[in-house]
Amino acid sequence: MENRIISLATIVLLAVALVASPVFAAAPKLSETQKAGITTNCGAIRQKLENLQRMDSKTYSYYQAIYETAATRYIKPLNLRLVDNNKSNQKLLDLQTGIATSEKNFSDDFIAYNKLLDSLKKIDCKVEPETFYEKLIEVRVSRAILKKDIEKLNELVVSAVKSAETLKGSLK
Amino acid sequence: MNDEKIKQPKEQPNEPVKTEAPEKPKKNYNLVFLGIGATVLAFLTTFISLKLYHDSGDIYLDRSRPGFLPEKEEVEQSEQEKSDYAFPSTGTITPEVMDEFLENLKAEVNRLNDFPVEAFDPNSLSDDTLGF
Repeated sequence: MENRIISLATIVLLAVALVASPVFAAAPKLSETQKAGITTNCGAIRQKLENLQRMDSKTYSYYQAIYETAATRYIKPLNLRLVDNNKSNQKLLDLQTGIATSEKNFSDDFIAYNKLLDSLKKIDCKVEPETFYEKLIEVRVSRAILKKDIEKLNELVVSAVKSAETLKGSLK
Repeated sequence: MNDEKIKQPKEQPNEPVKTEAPEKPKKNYNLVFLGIGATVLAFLTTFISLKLYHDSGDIYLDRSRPGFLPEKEEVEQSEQEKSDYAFPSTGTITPEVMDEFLENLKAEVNRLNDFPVEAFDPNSLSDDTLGF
């Protein structure tokens, strides 16, 4: 009887483990044409990645400067002034916090993306095209996250403008 | 009368007179060790700080590293666009003050649309763009 209970429990546990285990999507298989393309154009691909990294650095600096200026020279001093005048605006305060958090996420994600890009550049695509392609997919995912970060920050900054306009309307 | 014989030391016949050679001053290597130690310490602290700089990821946020310096046109453009305006954090809040605030903030926010390329465009890493 006890043996039956133990074997039944084992079967149940195994079944739960199989069902609960995450299903990993297999990396898309590289076709022979793609493999040949990677090995043949390895040098050119590397150069494109270098240029892309430089461009992305420029992009990051440009956008980060705007968000930083909007937060430190406009939204934060406006909130301080509103508090001084006993007119603090919760929406603007939330936006100030939101922008600060999103900026931090943007910086962290940019660092993570660059680390992945560096590790991609280190792979010898002539010798290991599959490994290169798998890493490339990871870099693409990381880059998509950066795009989302920028979209979120843009939304927050535009919301701040709208909130300021609403505030101005309420003062009249 | 006692002749006290003055005892004279007996002279040893024909013995060379021993004279000790003056001691050579010992060489002091402290300064050399100090120099080597300071150099080693400088290399060690430089290595640690560069490692931290690289591992923390701050290197990727730094545009002053070789190969990532902004171009001359970029610097000139940013100097032209740069505004020194900062909304004062003290004072009253009136519609006129908010007008000034909004005028300057909108000018800054509109720069988000001025970047020449789409930010982090996914096509930049597509198979076609990379050439395979």
